[in-house]
Amino acid sequence: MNMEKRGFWSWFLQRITALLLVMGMSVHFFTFHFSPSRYASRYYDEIIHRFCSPGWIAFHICLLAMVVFHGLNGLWGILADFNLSKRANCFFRQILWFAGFVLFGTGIYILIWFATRNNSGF
Amino acid sequence: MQKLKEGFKDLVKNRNPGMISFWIHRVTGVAVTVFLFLHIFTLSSVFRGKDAYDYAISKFDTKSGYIFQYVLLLAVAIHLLNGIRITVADFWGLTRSQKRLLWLSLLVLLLITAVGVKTVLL
Repeated sequence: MNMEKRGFWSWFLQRITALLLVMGMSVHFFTFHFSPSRYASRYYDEIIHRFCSPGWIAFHICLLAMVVFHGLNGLWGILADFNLSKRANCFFRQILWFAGFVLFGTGIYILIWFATRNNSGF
Repeated sequence: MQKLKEGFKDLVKNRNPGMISFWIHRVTGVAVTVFLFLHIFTLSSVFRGKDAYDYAISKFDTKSGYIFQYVLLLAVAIHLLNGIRITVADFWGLTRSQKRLLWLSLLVLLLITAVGVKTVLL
């Protein structure tokens, strides 16, 4: 990813979120793909049970924020390499911002939905 | 489009491990970001109730679903390991050892590939 074209913060935050995502994604993958309870853990009853814990909800909010930022900022980095015109640049930037808000908003709404289905949650 | 063609020409001309890993990193990054949209879309079926959610999740508990998850695991693992390699080389000034780091990441990837067969496919 090109720092000159993107600016320092875009490059730096991409690296920081990457390092944090290594840990976050490892936990996520272990829980849903590697652990012995991986099959049940994806279904409604187990998810509701798991989302009783504020720590688990906070973890997923952080993971969601980082993954959305890292993914869309990465796409922005690829687009920046294409030396697009100012107008196209502005258009894609707005598309990515919109996609980010939709993804993060929907993700947060899903998390709140899970957390509030159980009386003991939140 | 011109820039993309130039990029492919570059890849064909300079078939070194660094260039190949650069392209693989970008392709896996875009693929995982696209999956993020699918992931949020699948989870959003919870808004239609428990049965709709469990039905949507059960689509991943089929033979093709497991293969899809395995490919996803590999894409994430490749992107993650190469990302660690780039960050380590950048932040700790190990640019000279980047080829050795590449072989090390390939070794770890091989391990994840093998473990993934047991935990995701079987």
